[in-house]
Amino acid sequence: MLDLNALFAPRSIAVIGAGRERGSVGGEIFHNLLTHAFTGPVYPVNAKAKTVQSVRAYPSIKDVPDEVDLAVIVVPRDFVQGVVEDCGRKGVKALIVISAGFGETGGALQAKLLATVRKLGMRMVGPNCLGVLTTDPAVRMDASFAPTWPPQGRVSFSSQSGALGLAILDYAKELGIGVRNFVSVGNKADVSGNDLIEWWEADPETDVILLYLESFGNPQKFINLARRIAKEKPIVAVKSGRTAAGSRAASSHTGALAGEDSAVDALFAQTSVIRTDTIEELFDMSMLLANQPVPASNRLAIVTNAGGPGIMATDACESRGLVVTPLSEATMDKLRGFLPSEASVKNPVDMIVSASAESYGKAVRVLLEDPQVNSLLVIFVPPIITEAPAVAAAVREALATTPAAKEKTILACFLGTRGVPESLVTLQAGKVPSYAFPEAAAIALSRAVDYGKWKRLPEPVFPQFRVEKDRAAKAISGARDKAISSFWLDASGVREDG
Amino acid sequence: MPAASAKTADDAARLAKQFGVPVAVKLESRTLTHKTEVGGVKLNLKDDAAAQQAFYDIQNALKTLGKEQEMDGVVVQEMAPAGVETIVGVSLDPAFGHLLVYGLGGVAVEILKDVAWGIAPIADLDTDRMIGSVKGSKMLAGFRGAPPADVPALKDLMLRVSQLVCDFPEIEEMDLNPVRVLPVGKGAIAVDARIKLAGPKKPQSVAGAAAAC
Repeated sequence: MLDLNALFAPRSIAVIGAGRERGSVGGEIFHNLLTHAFTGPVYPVNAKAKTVQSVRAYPSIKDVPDEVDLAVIVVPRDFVQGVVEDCGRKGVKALIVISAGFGETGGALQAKLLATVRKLGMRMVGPNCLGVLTTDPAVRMDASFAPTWPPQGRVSFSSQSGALGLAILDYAKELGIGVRNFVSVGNKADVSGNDLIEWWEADPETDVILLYLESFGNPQKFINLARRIAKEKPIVAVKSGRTAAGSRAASSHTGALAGEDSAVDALFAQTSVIRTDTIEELFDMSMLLANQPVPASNRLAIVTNAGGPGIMATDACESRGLVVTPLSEATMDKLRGFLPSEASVKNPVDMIVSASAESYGKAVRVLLEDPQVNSLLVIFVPPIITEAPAVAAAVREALATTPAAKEKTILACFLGTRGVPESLVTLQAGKVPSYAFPEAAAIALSRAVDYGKWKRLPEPVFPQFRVEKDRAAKAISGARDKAISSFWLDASGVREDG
Repeated sequence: MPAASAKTADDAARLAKQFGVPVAVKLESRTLTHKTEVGGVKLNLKDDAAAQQAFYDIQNALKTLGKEQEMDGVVVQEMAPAGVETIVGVSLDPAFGHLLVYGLGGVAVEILKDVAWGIAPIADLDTDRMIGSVKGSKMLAGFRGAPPADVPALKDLMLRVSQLVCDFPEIEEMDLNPVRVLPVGKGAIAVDARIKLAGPKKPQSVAGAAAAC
């Protein structure tokens, strides 16, 4: 594993190319480091200015009087190589290279830069990235030009698209998802996505790993790492872009079947990385995983105050392999005890429109105590008489006072509610992920169920068969030498044509 | 499954006698992937005369298409017993390495695309996942009175293919199509196989092989 301490917990930072004015990239990064109160010193380096945003600036990294762990480089491309060499001589341990223009596919300039970085014993994020952020209170580093400081939390996120990554931080804040680290990986010349997931595997403060991927640098390594890491910490990924497999001319059935996405599909299925189709689903998923236990089974209960959404939720769940489980007689009796006779005590439990906040609290408690129920979806459609905040408070209270709640997976759907109204703040504080519509909740829950199922599987076995490898080798070389040949594969390996 | 190449109609007849009827006679060609489409597959031939005739029929069919130059001969093969027809194959991705495919659909597999993929090397659990995620795999459980198929043998075959391509990375593409999965305890047979090798020079095609597990 790479040592990324200087990247995620530097004691001091220099911003090389720190701008005097806000609005420039170098200006924003320096500003963000100060605004979010990085816990060590920040040194602006600017060849032309004596002062940057009220702080004394240095003409070169060599002129900084103290030790520097991390340098953020925001100079024009043609100066990067020289600046990096200076950083190496200065004893800088890690670099974040924001500067772009390195061919973005790994041309000669980037190769030279990487060789220098490695020779001088540094680690580099980028080039062509938008920065790194860590909310760790002992560090508090926003070495990016993200406009948003996300709430502190246990989700770490690597993004291959910088711009998208920054927009996502905004969204995370809106949903109340706590972030630990954010890295825009840029061209991944040195520090790769694989390095990051390995780092986060060992990081006790990271519970969930999120990836926005456009390409895989080393898929085989990713498979081996992800297979191991996902057993402990969920990895959720959204992948855009296409692999090259489909672009080749195919001369076999298999070749013709190999669609553009089949390799990526296989990779995710084989490692149980949770793949989502959209960024929105990526966050729906992390809300669930960051706050709730992985479901123990696919059996859930649904409680609602309106029939329609209950049916929608049931359909959405069952079409994804979840089971809206029959409730025990005892559970239904308890529900009958406080619900009107018009209510349905069968799963999905429809408490009808007159349901009070108190009924929600009672129903949640009763359903969680049913041993058949491993997950619970609480749906609330705001009618006139009952207030959403009161229902949210009752649900939260019920969860806090029901011991069974700890082992079960609870989701809420306060219909149509987005953003952070009071009821959702209450639910967030109670660690209940809330979705605007039942389908989103069903999708997230079903993916978590699949992940849980994979986690409970035994370790994979790669059997090694005793085969006649020599004869197979002979058949293959024979086929190459002759214009044509036939051979067979059989239980004992490969046998040449007679 | 005994099988061998025949360059002439008389050879085909001789092999049919040697293996015992019924036999299948199939076009052997380095260039033609889809044998059925060019009239290159004759099944269930009851005697050596029928095998001989099959050779001529295939030759004539290609002549009609103006493709007689593409015929290298035929493969004569003992008929495989009845079972569920699946495909197991390999494709080489430049970044991901060898991809294994499993699926159902026989000649329609390219339309139905009812397949699942794995990246070599695959583990035992991957064969479970691949088989489980293909809709048509329900046929393996026994369909319309058919006995349940030998799924362990199918998994074994998939794992062996994985080992083969790991041992021989020069394998670029491979079709075991169909792999006939026989009733429980009877195994799984690759009725037809094609392997494309990356050459030290130009990749060559090795056609008309069979496998049994």
